[in-house]
Amino acid sequence: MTKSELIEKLYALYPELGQERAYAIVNFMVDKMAESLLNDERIEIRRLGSFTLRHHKPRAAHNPKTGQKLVAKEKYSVHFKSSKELKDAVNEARLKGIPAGEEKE
Amino acid sequence: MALTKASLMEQLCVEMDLDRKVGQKVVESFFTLINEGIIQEGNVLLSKFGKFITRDKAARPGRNPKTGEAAEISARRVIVFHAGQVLKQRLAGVLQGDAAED
Repeated sequence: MTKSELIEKLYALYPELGQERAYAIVNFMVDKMAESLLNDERIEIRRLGSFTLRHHKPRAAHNPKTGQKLVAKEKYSVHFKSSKELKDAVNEARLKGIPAGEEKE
Repeated sequence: MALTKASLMEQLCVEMDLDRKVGQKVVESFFTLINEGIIQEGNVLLSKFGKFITRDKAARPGRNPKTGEAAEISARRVIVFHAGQVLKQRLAGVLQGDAAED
């Protein structure tokens, strides 16, 4: 499901909002969530899970292709911890034969 | 302080001039739709933020960390989240901003 599909679904639930507003609402929500992480503020959504920022110190690394040594810069990553409820729900879906999303890139 | 559904709802109502009752329902539906997307479709892609994908894991031998006893970890489905390119770049920008102050 993409963001535009999410907008469509939200609009279908609340047609009185109008399509433009449904679009604005979804984008506002996503922006606020990103902003929160940028301020190093965790996100806690009951039934979905929590998002926290993790800081990774710079470390010695190497290019696996050339073997060349380099320093991997410090960085932030976003860690998501799923709620127990959602974890159980995806496992139920698995038992029902609903396919997993899998990684395709 | 963490960002929660309640604080998202507050901000959304102010920004969009929404009735709080409506705002609450909309925020609730927004997250319900994401949950359903993860459960039913196995993926939710939110551009500028990130994506959720479910992945199946095979059973593997493991250990009870308390007792040290060997036990099989059963096959299961997990949810992975990856921050998107835009968010990653913005996060990297925060680090650069710290060092160079724009």
